[in-house]
Amino acid sequence: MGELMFDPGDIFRYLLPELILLATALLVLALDLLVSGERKHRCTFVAMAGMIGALAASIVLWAGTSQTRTLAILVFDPLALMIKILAILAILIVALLSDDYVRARSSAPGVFCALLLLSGLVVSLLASASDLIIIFLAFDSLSIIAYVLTGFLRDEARSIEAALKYFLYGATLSGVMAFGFSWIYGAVGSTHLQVIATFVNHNLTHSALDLVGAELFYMIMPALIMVGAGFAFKVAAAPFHHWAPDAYEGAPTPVSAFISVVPKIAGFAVIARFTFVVLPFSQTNLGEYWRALLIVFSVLAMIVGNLAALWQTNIKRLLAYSSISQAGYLLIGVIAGSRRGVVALLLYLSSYLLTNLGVFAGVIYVTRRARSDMIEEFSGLHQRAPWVAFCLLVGLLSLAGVPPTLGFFGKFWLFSAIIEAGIPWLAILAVLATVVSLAYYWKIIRAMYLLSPWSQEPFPVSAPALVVALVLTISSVLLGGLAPATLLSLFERAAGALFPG
Amino acid sequence: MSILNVAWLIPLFPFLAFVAIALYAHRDQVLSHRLAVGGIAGAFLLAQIAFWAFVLGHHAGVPFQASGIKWLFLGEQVFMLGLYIDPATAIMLFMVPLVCLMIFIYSVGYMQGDPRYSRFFAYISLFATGMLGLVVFDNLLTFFIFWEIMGTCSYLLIGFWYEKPSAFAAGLKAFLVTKVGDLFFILGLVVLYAEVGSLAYRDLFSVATLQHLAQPGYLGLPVAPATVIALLLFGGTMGKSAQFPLHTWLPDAMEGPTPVSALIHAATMVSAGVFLVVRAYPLFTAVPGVQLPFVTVIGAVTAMLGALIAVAQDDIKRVLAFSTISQLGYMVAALGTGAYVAGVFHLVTHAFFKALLFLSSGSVLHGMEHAHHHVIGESHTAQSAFDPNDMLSMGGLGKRMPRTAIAFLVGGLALSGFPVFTAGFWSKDEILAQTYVSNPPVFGVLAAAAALTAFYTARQLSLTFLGEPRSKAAAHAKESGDSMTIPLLILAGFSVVLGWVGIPEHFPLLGGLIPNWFEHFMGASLEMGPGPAHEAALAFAWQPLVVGLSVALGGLGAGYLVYGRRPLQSGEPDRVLQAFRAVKMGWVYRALQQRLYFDQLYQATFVKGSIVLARIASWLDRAVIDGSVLRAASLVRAVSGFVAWLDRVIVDALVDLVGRGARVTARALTWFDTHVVDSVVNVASWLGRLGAMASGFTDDAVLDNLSGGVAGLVGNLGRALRTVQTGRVQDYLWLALLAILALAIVFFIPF
Amino acid sequence: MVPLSWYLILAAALFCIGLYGVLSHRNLVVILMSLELMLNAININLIAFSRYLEPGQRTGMVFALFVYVVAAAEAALGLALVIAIWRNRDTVAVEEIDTLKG
Repeated sequence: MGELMFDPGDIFRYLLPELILLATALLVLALDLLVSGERKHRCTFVAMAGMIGALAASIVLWAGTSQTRTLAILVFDPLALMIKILAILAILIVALLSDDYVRARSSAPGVFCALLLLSGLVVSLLASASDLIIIFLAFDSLSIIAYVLTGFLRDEARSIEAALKYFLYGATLSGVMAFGFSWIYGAVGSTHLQVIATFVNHNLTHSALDLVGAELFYMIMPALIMVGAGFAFKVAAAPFHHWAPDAYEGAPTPVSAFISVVPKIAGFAVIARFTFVVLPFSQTNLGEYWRALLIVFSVLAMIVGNLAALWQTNIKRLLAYSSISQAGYLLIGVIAGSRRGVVALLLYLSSYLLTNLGVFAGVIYVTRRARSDMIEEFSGLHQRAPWVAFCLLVGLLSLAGVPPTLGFFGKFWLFSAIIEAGIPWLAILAVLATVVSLAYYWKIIRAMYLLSPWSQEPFPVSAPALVVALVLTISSVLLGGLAPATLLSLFERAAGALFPG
Repeated sequence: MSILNVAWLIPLFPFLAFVAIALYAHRDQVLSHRLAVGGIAGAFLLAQIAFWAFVLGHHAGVPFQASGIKWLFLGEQVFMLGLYIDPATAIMLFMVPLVCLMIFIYSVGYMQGDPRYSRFFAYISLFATGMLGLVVFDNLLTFFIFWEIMGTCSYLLIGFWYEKPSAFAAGLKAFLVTKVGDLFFILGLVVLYAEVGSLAYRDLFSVATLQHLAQPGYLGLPVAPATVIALLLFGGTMGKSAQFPLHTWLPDAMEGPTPVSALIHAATMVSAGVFLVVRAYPLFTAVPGVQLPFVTVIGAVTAMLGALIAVAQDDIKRVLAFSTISQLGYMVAALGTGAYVAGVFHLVTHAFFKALLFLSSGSVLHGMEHAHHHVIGESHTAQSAFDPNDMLSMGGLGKRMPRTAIAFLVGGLALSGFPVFTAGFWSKDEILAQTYVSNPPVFGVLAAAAALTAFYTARQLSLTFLGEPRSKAAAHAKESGDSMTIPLLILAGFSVVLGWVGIPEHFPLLGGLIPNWFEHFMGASLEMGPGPAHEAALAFAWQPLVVGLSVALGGLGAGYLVYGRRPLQSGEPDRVLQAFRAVKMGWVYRALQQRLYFDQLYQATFVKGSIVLARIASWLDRAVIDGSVLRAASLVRAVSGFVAWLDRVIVDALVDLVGRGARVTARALTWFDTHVVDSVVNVASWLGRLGAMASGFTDDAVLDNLSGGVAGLVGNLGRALRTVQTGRVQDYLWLALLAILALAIVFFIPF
Repeated sequence: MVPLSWYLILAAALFCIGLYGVLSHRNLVVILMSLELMLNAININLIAFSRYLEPGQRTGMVFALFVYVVAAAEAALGLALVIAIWRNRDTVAVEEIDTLKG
């Protein structure tokens, strides 16, 4: 697969999704300033139009891209474009499910939408990033957007507290990651992933520093641990997960949905590229150590996430721990280190995206009336809002990996990939963790279907966008579960970017 | 080691003065002004040494370059800080410190008694640093840095009396409007650096670079990079030199103290913009393109506009401000038409006579204000709305302030180009002669502007100094002190003799008496450069001379006839206004008086524009978006209607089914709960027991403590994990740190 | 010439001081300052490596510039959050901000 260079006209073509997102973000910001009062909420429509445009552009690009194209520090290959599609889809769904909430609680919906659009832009850049500088910059931009969104309700102490904790934890871990980057740069003399890869794989015996062998290892290995810590923070994998429950709980619920999905997409895009470009397993010692590091993160995330979730009474906190455990599952796709692994990663990522956002849509639907995030609020939901209860049921089953949902197929592919890769014990652990996870997802299902409601009053359908988001995601989860083959062929093509042939 | 290396120290002296005043001397007024004047005097002496050393010791046209200090490293790129002295620099080195010195000395008298006296001298010293640094160093990056230092000082000095809201606003306006230009300037530098990889003059003006820049095809467009760069750099000039349409800040800048007006807005800072064009001239001429015609048109429009508006201003300083705008337009137009030498010549002569005019008007104001306070103090009347700047309330000051009047007269004659004796005549004549050959329409515009210039100068002189006093203040005005009048006389001297260094060779009678030194000196730098070959001295043509003479004398004469012969009486409206009124065209004068409504226009476009834009957006919002949103809303309503229909029809139809289904689901789930989950837990706990037993945990006590085996263990672990989540972010970070350390230890054990 | 390792030791020390400040100070403003210290340590590393390892290149400097950009953005956001916390809670002591837990 030859690398094609760009001619200048191509730059605009390949950056079209990003440019659309950027232009729409600026437009929405301007509109938010210019338009006043009730009409401000129309910004959301403009933002959604921009997202749909960017989504269409990236789909068209994806369909037309079969080779890797490099533009200095950006790579455009099917994998990057697939990640872009997923990310823009995610922010579109977040925009849908936040519309009603933001309308009710905030006076600056345009800013909210602009931040969503910018986060889409940043994730798109991360999907294409092949240089430590842009990884650092885009990662931190994404984090900053997430902090701002978390503290979006300025007058609510919990929102601000969540944002502050998220910010302090995130800024420190970003610093740690960047410190690691600086050492990698120092050891290699370049920040470009390809150059670092060449250096690591062929040139471990000397460097510009006249270090040799072990000394270089002493330089790079701590750096890798620091970088790994930064990556783990971004995807909320244990033991760098502590920010997540507090941030999820305090954040406005649509933002909890956002931070459960969008940073994960970005994080796994970077982890996958970093891993398979710079440190392919079993080619170097360093690669093996990196893999061991990822296994530690994965195992801890699955254990900690699932166990801590058992005792949660707050639905947002519960979903936070759930998302920590999901990070552990997702890491398995990387650890497998094969084409099948990447396919499984993408499949599970898309499943997680749709399912988690669908579940959050249901949670927003319920809690916006209840004004409390406790699981009791879901009692007897099937009597008050049977469709919502059903959607939540499907979503939770998909999160737990019960057939015939998309979540089941995702987990199935993950486990088969890791077994194929020769680490069966990780698969066994993951299955056990899944059994545990059933217990806490079950708590919600039981509340919805088995407990009696505290009120018989039905929930009114007054949030069309939210309902659209709920129906869209959950029906995709079901449809994808019924026909995963189509999705698989798409992801096969994307995975071909890292594992050709 | 050339003696020219003293130029390193030239900007240093005022800078040291600034630092000393700011840090040490700010409580001592006398020490402050001594330091400031001493600093600029030192700079002046060194500059004179450098100037004469360059003039006498160097091959004309060969720039002196000294490259000494590596001051900024950027990868392999090292920015060197060096000197670059060519004829244009030398001329500026002659002019700038001299004018600055005069103005500093004048300020000692003028600012007497101001509560922020020391601060004023600190600011103007820093300002002088900026101007001198801009002149002597050898690259556009330092040029820009010093340019911005000047911009900052300009802001501080215009708003010096910040208690006055108008002064504060004027400072802000100057800062923002010039920033618009600066933005283009820095963009130009960026493009230049991207194309050439250097900002040092010696690299920029090499033949190879200029040829490279002259290749069309910048960014795939059919223009040469040189054109783009020149236009962007000229954006900086338009801001700094108050060229149309960025000229509006300069009249307002008169809110600053008068020495500031003279220093910044006449002699030095505004000419920095023109100097930028002079400095970057090879870039402008590297390739024929739109840049020079653009420069010419902007210059000519500015010259005409400034002159027109100046006719109708009553504020003595505003007349001068618009005259400055107009004269800067002259220089820019001259540069645009290729009259490089003439442009620089006018830059220098203008600096002297405009500084002279401003300082004289400052002296007038000083006299008026003191007299006003004197009068009010006597009569004990309430403070009336009195504007000391208003020329309509002056008159007859010639008798009361003779030195000032003479100085003003000399400056005014120089400004209007009074033949032979004044410097302004020679430089203006040179521009006219050159444009007559190269661009007749511009020649026409400039000639008309010259006529207007002479006219408003005569008007100003007449209104201020002739006739009878039209206010009590004017009647009691006294001549200012020596520290103010002596600089006036010195500047007046230069305003006369400076012209003699540039008398064209072929001028009738006088030509050749004194060699045209300026032409040789400046022109040489063009011959050396790769720019267009400098044309030999123009053959003398009588037409432009006649036109120049007649517009100057005609304008002055007309002005005298209208205002001077029969002086304006107190309360009488302006004569030109009367004339316009006579033909029912009073609005023309009013428009000029209102500066052609540029401020209102900008207020309406840029300031109110956002509001209008908001209205348009809100209209769009209502008309278009509302429309589509209504459609979308109706769509949503249709969808929700559909959903409701679904709900009614299908759901109603299915309600039994769903209800039954729900009941079935519930029952199934109950079954699942009781049977499967429980048995899974049981099996798990049994497995756990088994595993525990297998691993030796056979002790029943241990098993009991685990309370139910694996399930209990799992639950307890989960509970333990909750206690770790304390809610304190620092605890989380400690955990993260411990995790990193643990990982590091684990991964280093193999070694 | 100062050996490279001195710069690296300085950067590491600065980073640790910053980290310690973040971990142990009560006052949120001091914590923000400590964060800046950490980012500055990174910049020292980057600049030193850039200067010593590849004098012809400017990757490290560009990286450092971006670190500055991020540091500025984080400082702005951090201060905004501190002000918001102050308005909500009347405190800038970090350990008192612990209502979300478990």
